[in-house]
Amino acid sequence: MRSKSVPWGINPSVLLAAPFLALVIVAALWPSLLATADPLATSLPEALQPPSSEHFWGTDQTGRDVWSRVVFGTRFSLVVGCGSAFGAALIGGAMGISLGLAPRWIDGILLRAVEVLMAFPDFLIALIVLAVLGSGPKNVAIAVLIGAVPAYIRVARAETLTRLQTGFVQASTLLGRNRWHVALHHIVPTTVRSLLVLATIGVGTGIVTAAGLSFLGLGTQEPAPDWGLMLAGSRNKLSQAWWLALFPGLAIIGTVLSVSVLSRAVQGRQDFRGHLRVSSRRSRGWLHRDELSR
Amino acid sequence: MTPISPRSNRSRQVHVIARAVLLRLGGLVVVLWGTVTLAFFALKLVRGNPVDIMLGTHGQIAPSRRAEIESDWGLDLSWGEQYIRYVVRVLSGDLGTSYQLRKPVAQIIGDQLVPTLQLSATALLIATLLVSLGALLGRRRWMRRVLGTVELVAVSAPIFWTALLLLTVFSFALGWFPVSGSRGLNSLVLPAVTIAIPVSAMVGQMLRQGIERAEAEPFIETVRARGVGPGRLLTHHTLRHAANNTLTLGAYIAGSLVGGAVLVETIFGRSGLGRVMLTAILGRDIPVVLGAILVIALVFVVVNTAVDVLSAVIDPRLSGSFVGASLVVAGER
Repeated sequence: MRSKSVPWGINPSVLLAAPFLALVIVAALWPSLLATADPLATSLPEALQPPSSEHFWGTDQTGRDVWSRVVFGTRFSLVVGCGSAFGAALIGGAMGISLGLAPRWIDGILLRAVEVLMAFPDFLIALIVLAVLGSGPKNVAIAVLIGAVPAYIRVARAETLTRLQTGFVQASTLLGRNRWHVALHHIVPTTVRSLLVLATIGVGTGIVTAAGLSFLGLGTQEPAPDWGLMLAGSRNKLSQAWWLALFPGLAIIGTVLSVSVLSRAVQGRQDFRGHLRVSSRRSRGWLHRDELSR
Repeated sequence: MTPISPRSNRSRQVHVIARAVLLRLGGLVVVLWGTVTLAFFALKLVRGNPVDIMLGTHGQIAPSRRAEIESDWGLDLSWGEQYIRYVVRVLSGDLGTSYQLRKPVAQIIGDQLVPTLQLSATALLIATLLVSLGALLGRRRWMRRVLGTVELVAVSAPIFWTALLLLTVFSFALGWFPVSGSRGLNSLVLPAVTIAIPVSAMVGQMLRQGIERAEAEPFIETVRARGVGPGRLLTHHTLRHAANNTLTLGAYIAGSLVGGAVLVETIFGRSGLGRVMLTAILGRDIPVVLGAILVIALVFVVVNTAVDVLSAVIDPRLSGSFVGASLVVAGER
């Protein structure tokens, strides 16, 4: 795959995405800096007010400030998104590398098991995991992580197999290095690097999956602020209060978009061997970015 | 992987394809068996005694009656025995009985399959139209930029949010479509469009990447030099090259729609397989969850196997090596 990459400073989408993501991170770390009201404070006289100077994303059924609730909901979304993506990359990576290095018959059997898991969309796996674990925010995080693992196993295994064919690995084997040396010094570093880039894209997927599970009422429970839960609450008021659905959704889209724009920018700058290239404008994408979605 | 031989003779090719198909079918059976096994034991870990689940919250019964129910449902056997019994029953087409609805699982799922397939098919149709439109529009460079941005936004938008927006605009503000329900063609439009938006964006991205990659190949220069215009170049040359990965992704998505439409079905109040599964999961109705998982996996592997075979027809370079979708990944390099 070849992508036209533009250096960091010039690409307008990066210029938009980076500050936005910075804002999201601030909201996750210090929500009270950005929030204008207590996210839990109800005030029935002020219920369902459209956006105004006082409540600039309006208020919900019980008069809570939508902006503040979105701000306070950031932390959970971001923690689940990052935690599930990087956790899944770690677990899936370890499993995939071992699979790639394992004797062929073990690889063959376990690969089938992975294919079984791949037959289900992330969301459905997460749902099944929740059926076993029971609902709740912590279990949602675990479920999203488990749902994401199969894709990483597959990528890590494919990467490992490719690396085994490369000249430097074969040279190392010919030099008499044992399997463990080759694995630790040649396979793991390169594969981990590619998985990390892939995981940055997975952050967005994780956020959306977690929001979807919360939306179904399986995650965070009222009155805690949560993006998916806020959207679920907006369903009954769609005809009267468009702002209830619009703004939490924009928060999700904005976060997911900026994460994926930035990770693509990083991916575009990454050389075949994983070194950052500064001078060259042409990049050699070495990992299919749609790998995650399959 | 397998070396590519451009000039293999016909009979050998047929032999290779037949072998690959057989291998695929074998793999298909293994995947389904694996699914049943994994799901069966995973769902054994669900907390709560099945008898309590059957009784609901208000149930209080004598211990003797409880033992009777357990032996009726085979719940007093060991997990291994229960598993063997289940597999044997599944092979004879019996998916068990629902804890809560007391109806055969096969019947429950059968009832829901029609609305699910309707929704999936309509969504795929709309998505195909959108993708073709994108490919046609994307002949110009600046248009590709625009399309790329639109696709990125469409992929990032959570499907339940798109659904809510469409509902707000087209059902509440304009009143064109019903708010919920699964009766009539009119109620099919919004859910199908909701699903088609991210699907077409994902597939469109893949297709355009493929077209761009094909355009960078030297043979395209030759074709251009012969005076072939951009339209014909697309339909006769680059599209065929790009079609393969696109089709694989499309099949993956199509296969996952059957169970993946849970959110959309819930929002639009449609009946369907995803919805049944969600209800069963919430109610810990394990036989139904198991049955739904099996059917979803079946649809998925059948669709994907069919497309794997089809892609060998589209791209003859693959015919020697289409044993698994994993080869598509390896073939990238």
